[in-house]
Amino acid sequence: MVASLLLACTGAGGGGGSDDPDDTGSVAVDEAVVPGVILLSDDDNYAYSGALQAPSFPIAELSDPVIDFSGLTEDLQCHDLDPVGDIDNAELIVFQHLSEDEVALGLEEDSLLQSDVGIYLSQQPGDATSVKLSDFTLFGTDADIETFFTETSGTWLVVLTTGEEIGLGARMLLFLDPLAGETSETAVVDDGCSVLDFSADLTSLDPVTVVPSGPWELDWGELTTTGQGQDFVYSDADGVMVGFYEGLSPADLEGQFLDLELVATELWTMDIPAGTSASLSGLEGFTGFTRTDGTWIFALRCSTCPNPAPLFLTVLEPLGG
Amino acid sequence: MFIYALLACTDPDPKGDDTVASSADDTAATAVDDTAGSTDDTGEGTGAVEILDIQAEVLEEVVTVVRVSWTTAADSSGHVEFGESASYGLDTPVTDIGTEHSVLLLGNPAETEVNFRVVLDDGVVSSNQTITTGVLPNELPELTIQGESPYGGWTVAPIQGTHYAAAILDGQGRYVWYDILETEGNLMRMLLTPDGRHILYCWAGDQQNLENGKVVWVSLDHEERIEYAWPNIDHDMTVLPDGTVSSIVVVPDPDADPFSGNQRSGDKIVELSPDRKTETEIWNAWDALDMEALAAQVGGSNITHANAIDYDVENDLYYVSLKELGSLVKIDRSTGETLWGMNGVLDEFTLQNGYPTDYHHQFDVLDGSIVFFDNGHSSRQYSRLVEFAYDEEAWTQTQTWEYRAEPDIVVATKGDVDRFDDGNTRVVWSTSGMIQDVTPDGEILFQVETELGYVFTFTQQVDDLYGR
Repeated sequence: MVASLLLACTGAGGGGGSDDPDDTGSVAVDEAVVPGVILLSDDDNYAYSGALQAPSFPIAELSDPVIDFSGLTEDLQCHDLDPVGDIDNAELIVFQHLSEDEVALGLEEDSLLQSDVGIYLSQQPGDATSVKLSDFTLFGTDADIETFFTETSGTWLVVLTTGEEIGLGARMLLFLDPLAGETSETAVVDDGCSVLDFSADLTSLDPVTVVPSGPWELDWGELTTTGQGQDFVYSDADGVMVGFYEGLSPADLEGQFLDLELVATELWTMDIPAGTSASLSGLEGFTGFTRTDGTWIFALRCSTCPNPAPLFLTVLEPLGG
Repeated sequence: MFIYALLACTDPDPKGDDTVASSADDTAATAVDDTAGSTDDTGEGTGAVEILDIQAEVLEEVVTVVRVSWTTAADSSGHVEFGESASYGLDTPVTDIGTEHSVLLLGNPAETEVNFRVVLDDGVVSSNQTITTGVLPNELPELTIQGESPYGGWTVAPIQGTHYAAAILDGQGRYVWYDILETEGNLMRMLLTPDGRHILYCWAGDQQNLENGKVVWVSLDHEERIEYAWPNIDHDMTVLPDGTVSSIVVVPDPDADPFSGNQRSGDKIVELSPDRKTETEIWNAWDALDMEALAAQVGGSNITHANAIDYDVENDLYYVSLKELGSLVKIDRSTGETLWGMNGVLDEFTLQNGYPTDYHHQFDVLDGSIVFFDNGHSSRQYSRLVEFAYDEEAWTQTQTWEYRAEPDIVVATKGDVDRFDDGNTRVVWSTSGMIQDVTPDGEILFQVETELGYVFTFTQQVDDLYGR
């Protein structure tokens, strides 16, 4: 769930997809450039890594601390944030047997399971800019959570999110550290910009050649690994993004990776059903790879994954460009 | 339309001369066998009823379920045998007598070739057919599975988290049925109804909006959805063999001055008749217990906070866990009398060994003992399963078994337990998103873990998805 840290996903559009991943007559465009099926491979994929440095607040154990985010004006991606309007949900996750470093690493690698979690609660602050520990519930069921807040209870992670879907839309992370000798009962979070250190490699991948005019059928049935280095789960891919970036090279985009949706000259997205291929004809308003004065990006996204960094992202090179 | 809604059926028998449609069709079920009744194994020429055609489709809304339909030249009844190989292993109920027949094949995993054949009651058998189930939607959390459950049945499991879902898992922890749900409250419980026709959802409102509670019956093909508004239901429900639904219902202090600010509440048990026309109060804490004295002891706004209910069909009894009191009460359904309390404030038993529970949720009443999911609340930093043998004449209680996770897990709320006939025990570490089957020695035979962001609430173990 690194969190929700990265791209703000804005899925839109209608369906798409292919009927049969075993279609015969597929032609790898890299080998023979004709309209049709474009077979994607792991070599075409970008690489992403991120490291988290979430702040940790020493708090008096068995107290009922307040998390004050009234001064939080930039999120993990250094995007502007309105603490009143943008924080819809606060999640509290207690990892009984993991340290803060282990939790951060697990978030970075997307390797945490719910079984690492002992307590998992949430609350909606509404227009308030602070939340109190005792107000966290399990989907409305009170858990008397403040009575568990002891020095030996584990690692307490708080995630502030936009939207109320658990695990998605994180704007800020922090740890509460219950200590026996501590007197503080307040955690003031005001700096989101220093939490996430990331790198994205868009220059080592093999660009995929495409014809300017469709139809285009992208087939990812041979992908084995995501851009984050995890096993590729086909059912995770539920969205497609195509973007054009005028005057920018892939190297330029690496530095603006968290803003790919914001800096695009043109952007098309669509939701896709579970499967291993999709037709770009489903992208509303998309007419073809006609421009050659910039960089084309194709990405497969997962709206339900905690880490919204694309599962797959590659550079498209229009034939003749 | 999901592209997997209808998939090509193929006859794996290369020598079969059946007519087989091999291409997918987006708009209609696929004819897989036009002459099934004329193959060698169907007794052609014997005067038996002939199967005229067989249609099969993977359902669009739940891609693990296959609908098989067939017609016969004369009145007949029959069923379908099916499974992941041509040796089948599963079967449907027998259809009514007629010429048009349709059944659902339940219990298939996703992306799996399902073998099936139609078997008529007069002995006619179609040749083997196959159809492949679809790809699961990504709203279902990935499950990490270890081992295989020795329990041969199915697990009905509500899932809450990033997305809400109702799911049924097989003994290998694979999804075989699901319903992706919009958040409509707190999905505390889902139950397969005794007739196998519906999954029943218990949607409690959250603690501040309990008036939004409702129960929903959803057919296994998703085509029927019946809602019944049931304000103030909370935490748990059960279904009696005749289809009566019995639920915990939060009830405010009946003697409270509405202008006093007194917002105390307790719980009652209410039964909803199978035709959904009559609600009957069976038990009410405000009548059965000394609520003033209990309120002074435990405080809290909901003095009883019932969080789990079971029905003993053999003895016509209810058992209800009362979280705030830390107690389990035994209730005579016919009279509404509270027969005894165990654990916590209402405890009438003397514990002979071990240590008492500290807030429990689900429990399983066995022959002479009860196994509890003991949350441990804040007095300990772990939850456990604990079994107490009890003597209703000597009023003694003896701890006979305990199981703790390694390393320990604390489940602050929820938690479920079920003892199987073979002596193994199912434990649901709800907020840790984990289900385990453990032996009496604590060996883990089977484990299901959700990805981060999803929890299980209360599960139901069922032997047969058709309610037989």
